[in-house]
Amino acid sequence: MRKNLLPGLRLNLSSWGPLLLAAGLLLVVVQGLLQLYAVQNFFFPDKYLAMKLNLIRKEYGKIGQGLTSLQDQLAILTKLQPSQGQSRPGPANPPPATPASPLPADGSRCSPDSEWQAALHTAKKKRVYAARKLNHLRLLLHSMQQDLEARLANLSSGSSARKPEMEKTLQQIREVRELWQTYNDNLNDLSIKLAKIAECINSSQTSNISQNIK
Amino acid sequence: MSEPSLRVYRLFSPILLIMALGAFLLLFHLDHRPFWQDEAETACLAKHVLKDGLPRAYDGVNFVSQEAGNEYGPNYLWRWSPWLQIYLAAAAFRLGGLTTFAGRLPFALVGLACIFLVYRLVRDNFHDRPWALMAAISLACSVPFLLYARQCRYYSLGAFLTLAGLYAFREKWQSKTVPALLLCFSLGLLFYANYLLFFSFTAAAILAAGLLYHSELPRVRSLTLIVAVGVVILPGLWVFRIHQQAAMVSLGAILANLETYVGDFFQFMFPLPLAFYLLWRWGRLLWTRSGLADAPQDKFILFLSLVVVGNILILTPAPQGEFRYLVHLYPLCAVVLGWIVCRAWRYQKFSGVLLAVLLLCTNWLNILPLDWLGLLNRSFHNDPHMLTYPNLPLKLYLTELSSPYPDVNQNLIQFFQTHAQPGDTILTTYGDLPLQFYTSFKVLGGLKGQTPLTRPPDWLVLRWYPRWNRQYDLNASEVLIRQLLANSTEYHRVVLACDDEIFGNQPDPHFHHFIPPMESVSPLTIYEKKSPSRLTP
Repeated sequence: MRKNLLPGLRLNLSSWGPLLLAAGLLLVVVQGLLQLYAVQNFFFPDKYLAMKLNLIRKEYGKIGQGLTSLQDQLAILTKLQPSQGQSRPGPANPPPATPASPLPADGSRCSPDSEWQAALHTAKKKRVYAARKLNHLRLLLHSMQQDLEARLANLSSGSSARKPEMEKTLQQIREVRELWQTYNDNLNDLSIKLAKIAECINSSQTSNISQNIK
Repeated sequence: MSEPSLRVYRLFSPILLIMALGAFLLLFHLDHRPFWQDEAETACLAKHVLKDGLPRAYDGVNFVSQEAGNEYGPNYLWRWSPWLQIYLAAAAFRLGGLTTFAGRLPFALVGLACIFLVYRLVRDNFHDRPWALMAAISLACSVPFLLYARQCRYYSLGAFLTLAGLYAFREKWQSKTVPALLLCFSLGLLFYANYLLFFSFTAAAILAAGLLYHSELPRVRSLTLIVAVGVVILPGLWVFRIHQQAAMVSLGAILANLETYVGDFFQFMFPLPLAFYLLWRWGRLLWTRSGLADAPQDKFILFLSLVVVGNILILTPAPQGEFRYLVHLYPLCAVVLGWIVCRAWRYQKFSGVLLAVLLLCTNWLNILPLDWLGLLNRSFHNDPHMLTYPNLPLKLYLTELSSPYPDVNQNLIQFFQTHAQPGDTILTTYGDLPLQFYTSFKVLGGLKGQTPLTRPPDWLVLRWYPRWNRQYDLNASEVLIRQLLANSTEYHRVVLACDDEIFGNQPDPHFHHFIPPMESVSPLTIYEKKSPSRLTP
């Protein structure tokens, strides 16, 4: 015999289902209303900035991952460089079976199939993603700081209760901007390394081409 | 029904009211903002069609290109994207003049036709008017769909041809000629609207039909149809160099694109909880296929769902994971959403009404569950008046239409129309195509690749958002402008009292601003060549 733990409240989907459905939808309605910007701004005027800073910190996390990945990619490229030089046909040690060709085929010069080209492409892509985001963040943080400083300067004595909260947010913005500098320096270092590798590859490619022409 | 009440009913029949609402939302202030870069590409090519009948990338003054000149051959014939949208815009320009309204009108009307076709698709096949009406109003109130349908671009065409194909598929194409022809031409024309949509939709639809409607696919007729569609698209395969475009497919992008598409799908098209409902309902049926034959509605909804899922999966190797490639699936989602609301209403009226209100008036069911699960894709540059935040989309949309603000392209056009002199050249890093369409100046730069200069340009526009090419090198125009500014003292800076937005009237919900952005990232900055004849504005 089935025993009811809660007498009168049997878990029957046909009777509880409509109630649960309505309750779930009402929850969404209430949450939606509470999360509307107008409502949030009325009750918690500084919450938006705090949320924005959280989003920016999350973005830093993603940028950090991207930079780590870029660093790994550069390591791969550095490893590929010498082996690429050995495997490429050149007059010093030409492969005997290779027929003389005035120019390497377009495909072999630019094809993303070639391992190092693909690796270089990926590295450039990662660098661009990080650079684009950091540039955007720099301008955004600058604008946020300016806005808040202007608001603080215009704050009337009547609303001074909000001042400490705003100053705290301003301090957070400054900290986040300092953090930006760290990521940007990191990106600059990696960009220089990438440029050197790309230059190296290009020069070895040019020398191979000119030697093939001879 | 008595005759007078029948007349009143016909006049105020629900579908007519929905169509009137759709017409208002699609056509009201259609030209409230100028074309942005992508729309202007179509518009400029359409303008060139009026000149010599073919979409050429060069009109004797300016080039149209966003891919470093890879879009055309030696005779400047456009071979990058299909021509249907270009000719449609050209026809509209011929009839209505070279205006923003004329350029967008045919596409908005096609969007309106989508609403009606959604209604007919459901009503004619399942004779369920409430479902048909709910599906139609879901589409009419879908703000992302409205934004895309108001663009001078293929989006609404893709949606309409997808729907037309589905409509024909549900008619007796196996035995009748007209539905078979409609199916053939809607798919063929879908290729000429956008071949990416054609390949993804057709392949997904064939697979889903084979799985669920295999008994309704006579072998000979089906093969004839496939061959006929092949014949229709054959010239396009050659003209648009599909073999070269196919080389851009990137297997490495699959995971990233899948994440983007799935995230955007739930965020802007179909709420995640309702997808769970469908999964729960069909979990068993999907494997056993039992009971589907007796439930044609369930079977059709499952078919549409499989088409949507298949479409997304097939799109993933395409080089760019852009939300615009999903827009043709909005009508399919509207049909499914309409069905779910009707089921909820029949289950419990209160919940049905609540669900309908949530779906039609808010985006809360899309955003909040994803936010709770930590799956929401909200960028740091979004602000709370965008669709990535919980909002009332129709309110935002109507605010934009009723009190539009001048966007970045509007400000640039206005500036040059006021301050530049005939014969001036403008070099810009982006937004070159709107300037080409709306002004008579020579406009260089943008994403056109290397820019040969015979003399220093009279104006430079350095947009704050840098653009890179497909090789991830900084765009040539950006490099050139930086060089010109670094090596010359001939230019003086003009800072306009308006924001430099990234795009302008871009419909992508991740970028679309209904009202001016909350944070001003950078003011619009222009550099003017110093000349005694030119006064500083």
